[in-house]
Amino acid sequence: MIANDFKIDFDKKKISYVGKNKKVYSVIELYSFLQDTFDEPENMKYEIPIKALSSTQYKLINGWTIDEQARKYLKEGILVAPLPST
Amino acid sequence: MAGTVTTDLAFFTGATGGSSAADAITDWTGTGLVLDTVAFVQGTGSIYTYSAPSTTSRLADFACTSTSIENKVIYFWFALGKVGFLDTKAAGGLRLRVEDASANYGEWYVAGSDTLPHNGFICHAVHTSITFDAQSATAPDKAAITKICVRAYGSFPGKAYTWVDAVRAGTYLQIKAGTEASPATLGDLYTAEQTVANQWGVLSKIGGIYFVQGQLFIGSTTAAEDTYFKDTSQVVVFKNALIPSGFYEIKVQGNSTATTQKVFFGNKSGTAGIQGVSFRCESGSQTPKFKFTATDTYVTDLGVYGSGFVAADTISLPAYSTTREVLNTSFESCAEVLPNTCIVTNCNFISSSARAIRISSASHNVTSSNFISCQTAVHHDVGGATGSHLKYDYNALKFTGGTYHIENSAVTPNYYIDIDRLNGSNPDPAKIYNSNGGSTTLLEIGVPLEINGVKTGTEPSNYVRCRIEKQSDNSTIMNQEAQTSYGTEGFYKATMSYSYTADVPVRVRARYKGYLPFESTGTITSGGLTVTAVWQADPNYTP
Repeated sequence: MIANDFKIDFDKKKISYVGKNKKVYSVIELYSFLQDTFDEPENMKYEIPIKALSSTQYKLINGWTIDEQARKYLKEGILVAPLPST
Repeated sequence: MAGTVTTDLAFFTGATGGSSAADAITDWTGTGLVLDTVAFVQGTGSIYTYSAPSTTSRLADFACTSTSIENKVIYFWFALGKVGFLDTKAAGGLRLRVEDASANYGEWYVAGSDTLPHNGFICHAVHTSITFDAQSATAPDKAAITKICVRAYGSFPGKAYTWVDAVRAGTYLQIKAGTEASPATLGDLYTAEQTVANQWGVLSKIGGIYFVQGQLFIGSTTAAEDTYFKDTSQVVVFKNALIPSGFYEIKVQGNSTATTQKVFFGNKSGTAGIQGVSFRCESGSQTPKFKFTATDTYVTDLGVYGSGFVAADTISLPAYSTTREVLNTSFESCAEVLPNTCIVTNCNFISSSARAIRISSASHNVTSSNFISCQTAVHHDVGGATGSHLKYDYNALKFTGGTYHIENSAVTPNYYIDIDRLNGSNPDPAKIYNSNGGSTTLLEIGVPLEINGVKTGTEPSNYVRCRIEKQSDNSTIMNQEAQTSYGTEGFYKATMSYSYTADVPVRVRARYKGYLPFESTGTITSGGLTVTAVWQADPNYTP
């Protein structure tokens, strides 16, 4: 379950992979997961982290980053995203 | 029934039985005076001066019985062969001179070659409280004048003429009577003026515009005399004559026993005032402004509809009644308007150089009006005690520019005022002036916040989440679900009431999975904030 494998650090605006089973997800699954997470009432105060450029191309926005390890568990799409500074 | 016109203007009675009507030469002396029964304005003749050789003066003096001219206006008609014959006004080209029995005299310089617009008959008006331009060592006794003189000075060639007609003293024209079917009108005043026996010179009409140089009374203080006055789409201009500040006045008056006392300027269409009367001065900078006084509550119906006042002196309105109202009227560059508790709605107060309006009662009825570039817009002179502030409701009062939007001039100890801003009233908290050390508080007001145009499509199980936060610190103002349906298209909205004190820049969000997240910026104003989200399905969302 993607919610268990990807961790969202709202303070550092950072997405990282914490899964144990090494499951790989499509980029659109990550996109949908993030949209589902950020519409929760307690998360409305945070800026949306991702936008779709096309059905296969996505981009992290508003200062959000995803670490290099997490990228290894994404497939079937392009994610334009900066690496975290730390 | 047309209006009935009366006046207090009266001729001077000649010392030996003549009259200042100038219909006979009796009691007139001067420069070759002759009765002219061809060229005249009033009555049956005028007096002209004639001299075969050239002269530097033309005198037309009238000896009268001892007469008081105190606090009156002297009106006289004058014409001459050529304007250029006269000296300038400053040099005393045309003078009105009064003398008492001791030959003490005073002269007013009335006009000159630089001020007369033409050489035909013009009625000049001089209020006797105006300071003389020239006088004897001892000023004449204005309570006992025995000679009235119209004198012209300049370069008069031989055989040139000057004319004088109808010299009177008085203050006002009054109009009364009329019915709803046939109201009294300004036209009735003008018709009476035009009557050859009258020609008072108080009201003239040029190019469809009325020019006034006296007081106008509308209605009657005499018991049982009815008045129904109504006029529309007229322009009334008060002339720049030798009249002191505070004299010109339009006064609406009544009595306790009449059955009909109604005065209307303009028409009422629905709730709007239209087709009114424009009152103004000949020059915005002239000394004699005009008052508008309509405080008499014997007048049961007062309608000032779609009218305008430009450069008026104090405008005084009556106490509240559903049948007394001022609608859609402009007050431009006027002195302070005293509305009492009269209905004043949809009006504009523009460019007042001092205070625009004085609201002294919490029961006032000044609503839905604009204050544009007024030095001081709303002036309150009555407050409450420290434990019981006096609260004034501002209902849709809008302020633009100007130095002060509110002045509190109440004095200690009752100088505490609260302002309740309703329906978008927007006085600037930074433009409050407590001129006598009082305290003015803008009460917090509940304004509506609304985010609409959203839906999850699965209501009532799931609702769109909506948020409004301050741009300054991201603090939450609203964070709730859009649970209120409206309209017929299946949309929902989130609403709340917000305690407004000042404009707040905010960020607005609406989100629900399966739809593109909406985000925008805006400002919560005194009218609140309503945002319609651009709500689009997200084609890339995969449940």
